[in-house]
Amino acid sequence: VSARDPSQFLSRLSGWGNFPVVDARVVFPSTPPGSLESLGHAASYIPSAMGRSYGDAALPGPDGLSIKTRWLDRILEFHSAAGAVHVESGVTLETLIDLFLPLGWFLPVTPGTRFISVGGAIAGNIHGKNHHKCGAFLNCVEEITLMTPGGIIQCSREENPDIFLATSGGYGLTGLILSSRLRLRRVETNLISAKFIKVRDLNEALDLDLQHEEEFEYSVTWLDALAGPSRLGRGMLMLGNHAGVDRVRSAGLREKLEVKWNRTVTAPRGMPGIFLNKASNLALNTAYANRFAGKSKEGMVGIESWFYPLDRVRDWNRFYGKSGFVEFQCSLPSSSARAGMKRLLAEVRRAGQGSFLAVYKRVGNDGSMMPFASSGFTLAMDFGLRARGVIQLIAQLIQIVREHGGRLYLSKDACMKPDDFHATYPEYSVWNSVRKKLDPEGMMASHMSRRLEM
Amino acid sequence: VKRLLVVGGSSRIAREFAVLGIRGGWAVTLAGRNLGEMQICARDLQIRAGAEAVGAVELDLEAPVGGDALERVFSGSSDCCGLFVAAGLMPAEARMARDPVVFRQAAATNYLGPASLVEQFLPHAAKRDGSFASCLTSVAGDRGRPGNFRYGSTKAALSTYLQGLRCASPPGILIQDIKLGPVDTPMNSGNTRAPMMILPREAARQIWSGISRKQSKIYVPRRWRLIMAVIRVLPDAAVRALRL
Repeated sequence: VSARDPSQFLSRLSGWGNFPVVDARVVFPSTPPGSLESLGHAASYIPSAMGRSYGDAALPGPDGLSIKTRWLDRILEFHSAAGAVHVESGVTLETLIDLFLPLGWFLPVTPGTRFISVGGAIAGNIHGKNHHKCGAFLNCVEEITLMTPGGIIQCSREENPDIFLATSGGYGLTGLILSSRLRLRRVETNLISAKFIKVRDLNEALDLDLQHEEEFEYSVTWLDALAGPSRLGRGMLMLGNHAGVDRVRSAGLREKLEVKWNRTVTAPRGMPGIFLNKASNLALNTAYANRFAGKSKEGMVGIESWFYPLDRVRDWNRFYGKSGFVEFQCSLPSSSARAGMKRLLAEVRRAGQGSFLAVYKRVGNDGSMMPFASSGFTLAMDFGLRARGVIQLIAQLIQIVREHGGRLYLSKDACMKPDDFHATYPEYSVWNSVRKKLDPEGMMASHMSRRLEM
Repeated sequence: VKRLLVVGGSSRIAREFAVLGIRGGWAVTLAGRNLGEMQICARDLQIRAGAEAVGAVELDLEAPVGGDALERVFSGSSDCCGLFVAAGLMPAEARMARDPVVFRQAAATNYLGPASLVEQFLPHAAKRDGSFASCLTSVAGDRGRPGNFRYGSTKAALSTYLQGLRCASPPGILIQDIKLGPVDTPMNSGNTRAPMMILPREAARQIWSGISRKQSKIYVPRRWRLIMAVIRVLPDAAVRALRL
């Protein structure tokens, strides 16, 4: 026994959606642990870093221990000529951008927040606005050092490829990611050359999106989920490319690489959920839909505003109040995406539950063993739990997704039933055979893995 | 070059302090119990701060500090004129009450180790403008409180030592006592009661600012100076009633 053994704390935990909430033990290792047991005895273990997965993917199961990796945050190596970086799992995307963008290196894949860890990005195999072109986060990962219940394992596309592909998008269920090697991409400036096009309805949005496929790397459509039946899918298509030096100069700007983050404000703790209601929702969506006059607009946008608009409000999840919210994100295959999205939006409208934030975008292949998307579209909406009937609505949406051959994103889900999961993720059995080899006794388990009987 | 020795080099505040030091033109050597860990932290610092080289040495504050250990630390760095001791241990109070070994470990790491290190450092230190020896102590040392008096007393001992040493030493080297309040570090990670925490980077900035102003005693975060001024004068009955 040493005074240096990591202490455990009892804590009330939840994901970013503040639903569900569990009381569990937490440990904050400040150096890489020698083994899982050295963190304390527990029925099961699950890693968690920045708390940005929405549902229960990073919450521990009954009598489980939550391993917070936020202090395992050292950069182990960096090769400036190749953009290759070796980092511990708690290093955040913000840190990578702060340190390496000034040298001309950026993340090949980034989600809508920079406040997540590299370990979390791998575990959730996160994706961004260029999913249809560049795939998910896995595509910039070259090697993972994984602590499994049986010991430490290195895996990559060459060495233990099955473990590598099962850990990516494996939600921590194959083990604790200690470190990983990433490959960054070259960019010339800190700007995005963007084009915004107002779209009348879903059909127009999808057509325009396809039309611009060759021209733009990034593509995402914001939707007004409150728009009436004739304008179902009204919104704004946002397209962008990293701006080269020539492009920036011809726009009369000076090229720079350093990013200056926007000033952030923090939502107060214990905020009531009354501010996000139908009226404020309508006002915000209408204001956004009329951001500029005319049909379309082009211009230069800083990467901070292009990728991370919501990061300006720290702890924005508090706007949903104590009861929290659920994020619904599904992927639909290309063949049924149009019909599926129409039905989903119609169902949301019928239920009278406008989503404050709704976006859809094209997706390509995740590449992981248990992928969220292979090709088609993804639609994401969030629903505050203050309103009645949300859980029933989500159950109906899940049913529609199932009928259209789609699936839900596990980083965001909190509502699926075991049957929904097993019916929509047929790759589970292959993934589970890899996991069973690493963890025959089921030491790695989360609230989600118990809920979905994974 | 001016060399800075950072003891407890894997601590959050130490690493941020070292980054700012490197940017301010210091050469840095990290010292800690585990040489491997120090080397990893040194590499991390090199990448983060763009330093050419960051040194790493082994130093265990629980073992008697002096003689060989110290020679090793200072060998090849006759230019060492800054010492920053961030090493510290805060086991749960209940564990220290139960287990005298744990209590002793905390006392050795928080008081005896840093005090004897500073003692040895002063004669070695290059006398230059801007030389300093800074130790992290704690606001917990300002007043014995039910929630943290075992830990607090080990830090209070170090504060008292630094205060006396300051008066006994010839002027020239700044001997600084940094009274640390809640900072968002692994030590405070499970502490949901700690209000108004600041980030390690901000703590490091405030410490450097104190060093450049040659302040011998500073509170970090600053507002804790006022808070502790009040808590220090509270009668015991009030401390008991408020369960501070």
